[in-house]
Amino acid sequence: MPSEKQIVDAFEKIAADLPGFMAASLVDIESGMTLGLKSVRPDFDLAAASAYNSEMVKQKLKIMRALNLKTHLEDMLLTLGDQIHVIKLIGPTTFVYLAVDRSQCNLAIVRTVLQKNAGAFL
Amino acid sequence: MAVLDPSCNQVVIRIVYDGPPEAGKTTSVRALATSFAGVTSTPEEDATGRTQWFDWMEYVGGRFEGSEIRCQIVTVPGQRALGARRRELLRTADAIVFVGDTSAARWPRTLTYLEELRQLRIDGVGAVGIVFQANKRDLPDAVGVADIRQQLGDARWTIGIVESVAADGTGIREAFVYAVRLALDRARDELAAGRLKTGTPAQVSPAELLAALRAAEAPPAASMEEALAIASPTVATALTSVAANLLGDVLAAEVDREWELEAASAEPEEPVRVALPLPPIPAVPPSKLAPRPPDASVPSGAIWPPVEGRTILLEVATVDLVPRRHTNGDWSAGLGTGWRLVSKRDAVFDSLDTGRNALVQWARLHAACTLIVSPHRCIVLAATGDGRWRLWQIVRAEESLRDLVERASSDAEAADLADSLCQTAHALVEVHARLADAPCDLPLTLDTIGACDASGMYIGLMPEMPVAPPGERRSPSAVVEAELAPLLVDRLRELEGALARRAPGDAQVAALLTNLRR
Repeated sequence: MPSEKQIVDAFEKIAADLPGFMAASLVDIESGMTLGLKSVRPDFDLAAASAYNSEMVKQKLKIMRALNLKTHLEDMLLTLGDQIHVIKLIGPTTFVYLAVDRSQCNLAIVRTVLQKNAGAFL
Repeated sequence: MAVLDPSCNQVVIRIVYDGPPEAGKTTSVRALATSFAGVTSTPEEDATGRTQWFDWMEYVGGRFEGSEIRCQIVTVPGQRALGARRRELLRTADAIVFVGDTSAARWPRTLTYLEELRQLRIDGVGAVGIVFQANKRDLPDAVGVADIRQQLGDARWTIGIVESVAADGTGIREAFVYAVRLALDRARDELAAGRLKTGTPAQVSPAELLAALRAAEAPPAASMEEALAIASPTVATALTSVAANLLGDVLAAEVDREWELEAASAEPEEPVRVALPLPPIPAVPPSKLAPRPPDASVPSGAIWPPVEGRTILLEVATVDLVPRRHTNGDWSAGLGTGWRLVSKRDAVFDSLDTGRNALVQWARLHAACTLIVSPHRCIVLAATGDGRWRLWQIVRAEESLRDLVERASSDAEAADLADSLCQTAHALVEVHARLADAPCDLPLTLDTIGACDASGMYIGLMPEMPVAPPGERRSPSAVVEAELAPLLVDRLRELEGALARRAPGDAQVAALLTNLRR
């Protein structure tokens, strides 16, 4: 597992590449704990958001098992009125949760930047 | 004081940056402005660029209870001669970021100013959250973080510490975010208590704040000594204490030193050689090696579950916790408070990263057992006070099945006792079945199982990591027999004794006793 500093450094790079970057965290799926995070929005409770999103990921994985889908979960996209939230699974135990301002960014950029930096979280 | 402004549907909070002169307050706010693409405003600076009144910046973003959040970010002037302005600005704070110069030479002065803040808080800004922004961490002679924690802990400060290098912006945003959280927590409390003010804030621009400060100030500007001297009677009483007298001596020394420094600003500074104004240390500390128990300053990512855990931590923080060492080296706290805080002897880590790895592993085990274990519990990685990190588990004390049976047997009729025994046996069997899915061995006894939340739950401590895989399990009937038989045998012995005393030598009673034993 990368150290917290390595995780934060990786988020710094993502923030630099992504216009409208709001917040991001690396989250342990099983426990919902943040392993590292970065936020430019003081009101955004990233620890709570990460914990709740881990429940969503766990439920999705459960659904996939119930449906006997023989594939893997790559990412989950959530479009809010003014924000885009992306959950990208990194290995079997963690995921990156990223929130960006929808007016300044688009989904293609978000996924490209995430893909480019995903290796840093392994 | 936070204000809810219905005219623009905004909640207005004020974060005040306090600290000694040239500690980096203005630099921090300017770094913040760069980070948030904001603009700072400084009404007046002296020839050397030092703040005379305040620096001002506004940041609007996020929502609080449906309202937009407007943060007024204000610095105080650090010069001692402008102490009255400092006090006036601190009085309006919803949260304070104390920017401390942690270079070895300036560290004593940082502690002095921090202690002054405690005095000033008595006079009006009590219950305001404080973040200690340990600045100038890039200097080669910076005081170690472990020492900083130790000294702040010794001075009974329970405040969060954020390391920073204001000159390059490192740590600035983290400290600000922390302060905003504290301010919003306070606003939330005020809202819940019906005390959150509604209306237009007293000042909405630097010009208005400047006008208010000018109006409040009778020329010439009162110095820090005068500011402390005109404090409330509470402060006057406090100033008679040994610690306060010491503080007074230090302040006097600091005034002279400050004046000398300003007079010879071109010369390099010598360390300020003054005694530290620490408050009296408790007469009998439990142990010099006692780790500091977890408190609300635990950083994000160091607590599980992340949301409920913080609520538990806030609740636990309201009780007086004194860690005590057991003979096996484990630490515990919370006796008699309704909470059990336990940390194993070896659950201490030299770095946050190592501790966090252990925390995550343990959190996974907890998460896998959430349907079996009692809900009011959390695990926390807390700073020990000596630069290391210690893993604690916090569990609310619940009524155990043994408590339940003993209460029933002491004051109930036989039928009630029978009901209680049936209920207990049922709970044991139910938990036994659910424990089959647990990834670890949890002891199934009358003491570790409780009837909280209308069903049987494991209420004991979670085993430490690494956990051995579950071993061979007893059958449900064996569990019930092993746990309840001793209680029934004890009860039977009492009954025998009572019967034998009432009718010694009675043939019928003797026959009854024989049957009972059978």
